[in-house]
Amino acid sequence: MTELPKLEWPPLIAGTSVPAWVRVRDVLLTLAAWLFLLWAMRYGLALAIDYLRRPMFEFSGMEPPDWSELGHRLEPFLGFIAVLVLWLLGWALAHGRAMRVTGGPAPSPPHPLPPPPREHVASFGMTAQDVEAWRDARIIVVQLAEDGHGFRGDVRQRIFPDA
Amino acid sequence: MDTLHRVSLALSVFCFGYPFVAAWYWMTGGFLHWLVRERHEPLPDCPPPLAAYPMVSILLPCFNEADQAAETFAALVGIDYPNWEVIAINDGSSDRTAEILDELAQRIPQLRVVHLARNLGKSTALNAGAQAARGELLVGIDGDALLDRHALTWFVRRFLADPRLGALTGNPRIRNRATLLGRLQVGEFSSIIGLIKRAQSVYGTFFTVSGVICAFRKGALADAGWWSPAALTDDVEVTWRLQLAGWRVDFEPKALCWILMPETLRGLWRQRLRWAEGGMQSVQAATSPMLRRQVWRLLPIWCNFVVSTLWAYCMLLGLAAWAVSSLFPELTGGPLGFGPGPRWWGIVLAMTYILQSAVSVALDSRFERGLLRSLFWVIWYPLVFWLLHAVTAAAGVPRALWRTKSTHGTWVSPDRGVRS
Repeated sequence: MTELPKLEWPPLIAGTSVPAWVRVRDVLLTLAAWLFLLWAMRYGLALAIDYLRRPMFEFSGMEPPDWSELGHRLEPFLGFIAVLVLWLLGWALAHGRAMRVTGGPAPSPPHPLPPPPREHVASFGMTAQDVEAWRDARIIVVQLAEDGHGFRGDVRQRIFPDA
Repeated sequence: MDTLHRVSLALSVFCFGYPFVAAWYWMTGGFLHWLVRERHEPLPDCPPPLAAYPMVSILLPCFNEADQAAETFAALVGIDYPNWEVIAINDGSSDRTAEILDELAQRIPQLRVVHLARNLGKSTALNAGAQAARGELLVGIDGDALLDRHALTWFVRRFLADPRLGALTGNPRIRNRATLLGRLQVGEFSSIIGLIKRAQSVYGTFFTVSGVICAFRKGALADAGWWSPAALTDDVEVTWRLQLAGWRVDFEPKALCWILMPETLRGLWRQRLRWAEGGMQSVQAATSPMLRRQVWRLLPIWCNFVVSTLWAYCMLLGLAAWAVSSLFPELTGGPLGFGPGPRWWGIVLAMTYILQSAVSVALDSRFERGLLRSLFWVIWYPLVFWLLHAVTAAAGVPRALWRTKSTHGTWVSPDRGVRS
């Protein structure tokens, strides 16, 4: 018999079986990666420290960077970003009300009704009676029809056996 | 500057520009989604009472899930919704799955079982399960996924509010975080996938629902033509099909589901290659109907897919050009492409990505306590996952283009990571 375990929630797996050295290795490698990034950013960090230490908000020990050069390099990308942000903002403004879940009446006209069940089960080579039988079944064995598209179902057990 | 160096510069600009622009777009979308939709919403554990509780059928395709079934059903029996059933579809498993499901069906009144005589793939399993379903609302989860007890209520609330809503994608959370790869994916699902879904929700069209936790209106599926048996990524394919048929798709972040992800490089590679191949296959199939029916609303999503695929090839080309020009500088007349070492644009991109992760963690922290800790590990993401994305996308495209159309979309799940 399959026992259903009692789950802790949220069901996180902390991985107690993972060896301690693997955990330490992962932490050290990740720390090293952060340190490498900080090293790569050393000029920018030094600038920021210089700018923020006394006298504050001025460069006292370093030459200020060439902002126009950085701006020039990023300009086309910033233009793209501005256009896309405006575009998204437009959508949010236009559909903001519809995006809120109110539980009230639908903000847009309902979609045309889907095809009736008889039509849509026909695409699986099934009849309305087949579907009824499937929906009353607890266990079904399904074969793919010879043409490779339809279903053939063999009901093994019904939900209400005496019905 | 000769042509070769001009092309190399253009390549570098594009390889930097696309993720940089996309990151800011996603951050804006995430923030707007929070501002408009999430800010005033209740917490995931406190769903409000609904006006009605229609029958919900959970479709649970299982292929060799004998090891996972007990946990999956332990979560399902705790569901806090008054009117539901679960249809477990045994997709021709070769392990004890069939036996376990039949036995559980005698003990769990809401459980019904559909056995497929042979392995036909997830899409066919879902199609068979949907025909047996008694509910008009279908929720799809994977055989190893643990559904949150309130997820059904959150899904139904949205369907009741919007009759044009054809599908909803839920919010998958990673369970296994024992290794570096597991922890990286915790950050990935928040910082990339969560933000993309929010941005797409603001715009109103989706590239894909998450197959591991999604919900559908049965009528919408019938209207759109159900799941395609040949699809490798059933979720991408059905999302496009529903939107092409005029149905709305949206994101419900409070519908949570706890999932297992691969924690080996081999498993991750196989999974991402299938995603890349399936994504290409689905977009390829949707292109002609989109143009024919003039569903221009899908065009930005389509363009983004094409540009991201192009980016993958350009990344590989840029790295290859750098390697060749470093080895044979006399041949290329100087450095070409870009190396793995950080330059100014690499640092700007890394900083942007860290900011993006911080934004997404802030948005997602109401769904998962202690998420802030995942920020420590995101440093690896640009290196490991962008490269993995580039390689799998580049490999997936030709595989999708040459794949036989009539083949059933079957696959074996990758490893499920460290389990204890």
